[in-house]
Amino acid sequence: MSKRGIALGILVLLMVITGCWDQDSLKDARLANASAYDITSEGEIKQTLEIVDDFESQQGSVNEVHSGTGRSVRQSTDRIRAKVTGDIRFFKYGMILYGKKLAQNDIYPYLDVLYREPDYPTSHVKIAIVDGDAGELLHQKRVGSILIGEFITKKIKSLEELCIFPEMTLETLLPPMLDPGQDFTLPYLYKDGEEIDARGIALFHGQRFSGSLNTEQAPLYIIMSGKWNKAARFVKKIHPGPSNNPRNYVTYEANTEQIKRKLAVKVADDGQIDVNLHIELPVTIVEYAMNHLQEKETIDRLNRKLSDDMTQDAEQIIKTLQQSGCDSFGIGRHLIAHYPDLWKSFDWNKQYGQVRFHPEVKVKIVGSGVLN
Amino acid sequence: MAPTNHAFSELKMNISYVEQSLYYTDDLKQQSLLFNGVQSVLLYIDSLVDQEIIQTHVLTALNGQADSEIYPLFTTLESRKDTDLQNGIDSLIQGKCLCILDGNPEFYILSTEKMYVRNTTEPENEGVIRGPHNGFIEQLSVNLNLIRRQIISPSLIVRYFNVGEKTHTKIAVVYLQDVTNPALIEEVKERISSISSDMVLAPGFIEEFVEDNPFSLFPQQLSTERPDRVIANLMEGRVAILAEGSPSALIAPVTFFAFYQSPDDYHGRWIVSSFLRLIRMMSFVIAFTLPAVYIATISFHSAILPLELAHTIKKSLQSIPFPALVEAMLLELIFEVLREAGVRLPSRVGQTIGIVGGLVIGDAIVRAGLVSYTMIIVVSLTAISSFLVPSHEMSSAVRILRFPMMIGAALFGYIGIAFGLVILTIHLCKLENFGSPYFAPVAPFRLKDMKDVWIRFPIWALRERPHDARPQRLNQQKFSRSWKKRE
Amino acid sequence: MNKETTITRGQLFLLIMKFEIGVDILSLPYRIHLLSKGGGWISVFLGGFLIQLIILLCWLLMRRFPSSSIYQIVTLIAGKWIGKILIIAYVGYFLLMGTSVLVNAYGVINRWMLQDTPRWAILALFLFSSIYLVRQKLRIIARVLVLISFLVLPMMVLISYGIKEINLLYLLPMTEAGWPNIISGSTETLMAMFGFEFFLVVFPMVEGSSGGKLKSVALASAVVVMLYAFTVFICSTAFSPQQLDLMPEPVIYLLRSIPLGTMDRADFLFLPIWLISIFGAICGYYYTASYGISYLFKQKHHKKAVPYVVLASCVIAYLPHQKENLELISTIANRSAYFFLMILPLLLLVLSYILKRKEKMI
Repeated sequence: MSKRGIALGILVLLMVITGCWDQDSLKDARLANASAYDITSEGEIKQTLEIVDDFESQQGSVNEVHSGTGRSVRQSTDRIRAKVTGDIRFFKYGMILYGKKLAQNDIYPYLDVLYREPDYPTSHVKIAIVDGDAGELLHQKRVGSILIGEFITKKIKSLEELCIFPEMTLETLLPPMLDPGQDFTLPYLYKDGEEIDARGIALFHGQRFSGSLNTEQAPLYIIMSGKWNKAARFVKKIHPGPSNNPRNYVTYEANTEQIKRKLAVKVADDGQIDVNLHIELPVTIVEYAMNHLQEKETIDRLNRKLSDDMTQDAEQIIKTLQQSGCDSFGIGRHLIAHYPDLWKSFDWNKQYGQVRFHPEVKVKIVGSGVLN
Repeated sequence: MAPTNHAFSELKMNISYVEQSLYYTDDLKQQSLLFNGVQSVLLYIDSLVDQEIIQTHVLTALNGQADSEIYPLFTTLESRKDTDLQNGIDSLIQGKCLCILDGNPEFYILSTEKMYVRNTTEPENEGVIRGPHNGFIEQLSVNLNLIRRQIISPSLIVRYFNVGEKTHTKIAVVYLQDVTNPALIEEVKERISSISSDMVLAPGFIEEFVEDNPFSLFPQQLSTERPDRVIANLMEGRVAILAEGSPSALIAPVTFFAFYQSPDDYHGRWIVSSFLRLIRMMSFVIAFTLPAVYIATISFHSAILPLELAHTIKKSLQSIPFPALVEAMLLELIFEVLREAGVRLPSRVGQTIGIVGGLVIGDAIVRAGLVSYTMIIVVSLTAISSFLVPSHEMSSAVRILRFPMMIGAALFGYIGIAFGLVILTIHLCKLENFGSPYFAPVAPFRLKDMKDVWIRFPIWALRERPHDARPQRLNQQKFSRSWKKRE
Repeated sequence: MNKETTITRGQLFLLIMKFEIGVDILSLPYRIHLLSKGGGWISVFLGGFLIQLIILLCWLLMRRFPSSSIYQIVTLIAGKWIGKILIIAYVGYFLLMGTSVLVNAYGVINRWMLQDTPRWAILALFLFSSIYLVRQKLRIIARVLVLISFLVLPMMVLISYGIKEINLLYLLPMTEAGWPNIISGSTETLMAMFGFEFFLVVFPMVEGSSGGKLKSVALASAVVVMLYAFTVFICSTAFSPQQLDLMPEPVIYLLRSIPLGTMDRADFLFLPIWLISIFGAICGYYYTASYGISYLFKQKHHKKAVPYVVLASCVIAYLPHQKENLELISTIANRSAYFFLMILPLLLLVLSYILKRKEKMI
């Protein structure tokens, strides 16, 4: 029994003299929700941080926005810590914004700390590029009754569902960023006066920002990349005539469950790479003032015209992609997988522009709402 | 006078011997009468005897006779002859009456005990919705009566023991001869016989004298006041220990899962009962891990919470000055105090305390900023879960288990909880009582015995007895629904 | 052997499975990737095959002495004095392996969950819990470990959430690294699967025939090979190769990034479960070491040796401060495994044939 007593005694002693070393109390934490990074004219990193506090009172949550500069991301965070009370904790992070100028450098160094810290969450954090100064967006603090960080996060999420933004989080960003055979794209925002608006999609070459697509091109691009979401809407002018007459336009929405996409990479003997991208797009007409959709000729005519238009749009998109050097379809990865010797023989950066793409979009109208 | 066993021939010497041995206690009464011309006296302790019996059976019988043997007169009463005065004194203390005749070294011991019985109503702590509503009372003979009326079998054995030097408490060990493992019976008998103490109060004392691991938190014998529970366990090959003066029966050996079975389970639909059993099992886990998990989550690993929840909890935690552990301990202790007080309150005041304790204290303590709302939710859920257990000792064990887990969580977060669970598992697997493992059928793992643990299989599917009591006969039923084949 | 110290074949199966899924499940995908790239899972299968051969070898040895553990066999074959030296060597080996697992486990906890807690505190946790467990009779230890081994299931379920992230292209080309590398990658699997040596000591205490015991152990190893292959497959496809180059513990990384509904850090759920499993493995090593010591000193029960064994292990785990020294422990342990599990049994087997030592059939 005495042996047990000794053991018990040591145990009790241990418990008494120990502290709780790793305690990271939720109560004491000041939760950082959103941050924005810009480059200052001196070449330093300026971080703007939104900190959310919760109070029981009527006002609900309040937030504060602070900025700090430093040579590295961590340093800028520490500068902000020096300005603010309490500990800033990032474990409920929502969103990161990068200013365009910053993104034109390699962005991995700015992200390294986020992946290295075991504490940072990475699976739900959204990223976006801002045309202009990213910090500006955060200084707005609130939009209506929603705090800015939450607002932008929700905005990005809902636009993802509309297939205007690619679905990216901090976590899904890392594989393509480190992969020489694939590039990524990010949502692109800008500040339109008082409002925060979507500019389209930011294209990246390697780790640098190199080009963009606008919001009309965005849904088709997303479908082409194979990662479409719930709703993709398109508006096209199909009848000749004045542009300001809404009758000349048709709005249609893709039936996203039934889209078929096929990407085939072929390499000819002389090293010429051909990519066939074939998309079958069943759509539902949402707005068509000209009506008469019950007639087969109208539908066929519309199908043809829309297919042609969209194929042209696709070619335009691909041209932009090639110009920006953004291999977001992962052609390079296909080459590494199936033609590893070829891959080793050339410089993909240059070769990507030489790839011949053959996009083809086939639109098929399958529904028209409850009217004809 | 020197202690002697043999009765004297002289009446007076007998009387004075008895009086002296009983230290002239005031409630020793004498009644002298004349029988056949012989001076005789009735000795009894008036607090123990039934005056009515003495009146009707003894006195009337004696008074009316002349010139015959005394013995055959006591036909309506249990009686015997003896010459050993010591036995006579023992009987006196048991409430019997001595009839001593002058000049005769033999005397008669007559059974005139008075018993105060209460009704065999359902025990308060073990009520069921459907099922028998009777319960044991303090008289051993009544309890044995209840048991024997339900198992009408010649193999139901009762063995009496007397324990306690001064109290001479009568204990009955009940078992089924052809089902129960003989080694188990021997073990039980040996342990009971080796109890040597002045006083034995059932059931707590017996339990502690007989159990294998007094240092464990967990109860190792099931204590119940319901006859149907005892009977069910006897049929599975276990042993029941009853004692005079206590309405509780102890059942040994018992597994951990036996504490989570209620007789209700067997009288309802088996799917519903299975569902209720699962909830009870879940409540076991919740009862001691929930506060610990909560403390660990908000102190160490807040990242795991969904975003909105994190903000909500933070909001309620904002103005609390204590760390989470202190907050939790404070609230738990207040809860325990309230609960303990509630047991002792008279029922009229009890209602008020319920309202005061629950609503007022609960709300006021939050508004004063001592405790947060989420903590109150956690603590009350925990408390309710711990009361879900059908057995009182188990629920106390689980409640105490909470505290080390909370400390472990506060020191090491989830790792602390993991280690706490490991140590608990080691302890449960280590416990064995009367040779059968406590945590069966989970460890050692027997799939067949699981039919009655987590869920309840239909009665007609429970063909075999569970292994843990190592009964002699495993099969308890044959194919009972044979009429189904006809359809 | 009385009833107190026997375990069943089913228990042996689960136990061996548990011991083999060790610390290395976390880092195996990384180390294999470094060598074999996309062909990692092939290396796993190769390694699994090699393990079966080693198990067969050890079994051949144990079969000739059905009621002796390795300690007794060593004494029987090599004589009293050399036998004693070998016993001490084996005890030392088990102790070292246990310590190496402990050190690794501590490292993982330190890096991922509890950064500031001092080493002695976590080691103290292990110390008390393992002393509490290993002091019990073998039967009880087996029961607890069987329960712990069921935790493999939730671990695998969590890992399989990673299926959502798979990109099969990352695997190709499969033989990118070349066959020689793939084969050398299988040695990594070998090291990750050490754990079956438990049966060298408990072989006599398992109920059943020799052939049956072989079946249990072999089956357990096969299952583990499947699970490892699955894990390697998921990690290789969820992460791009460049990413894998950076991550020493891809499994935890994988779990950190998977959203479980709205909950974020699934690794907080995985790590405590995994830790309990590791704890079981460590206790297995402690048991074999204590058994050896108690055999050496002719004790009846291994109970007394336990505190010393565990204390020694924790002290060793506490000493090194730099990363290289910690890794040294693991390297020594793994290298010596080759000796103790392959060379020595082979030698003993050959010697036992030459010297015609065999246990008399009853």
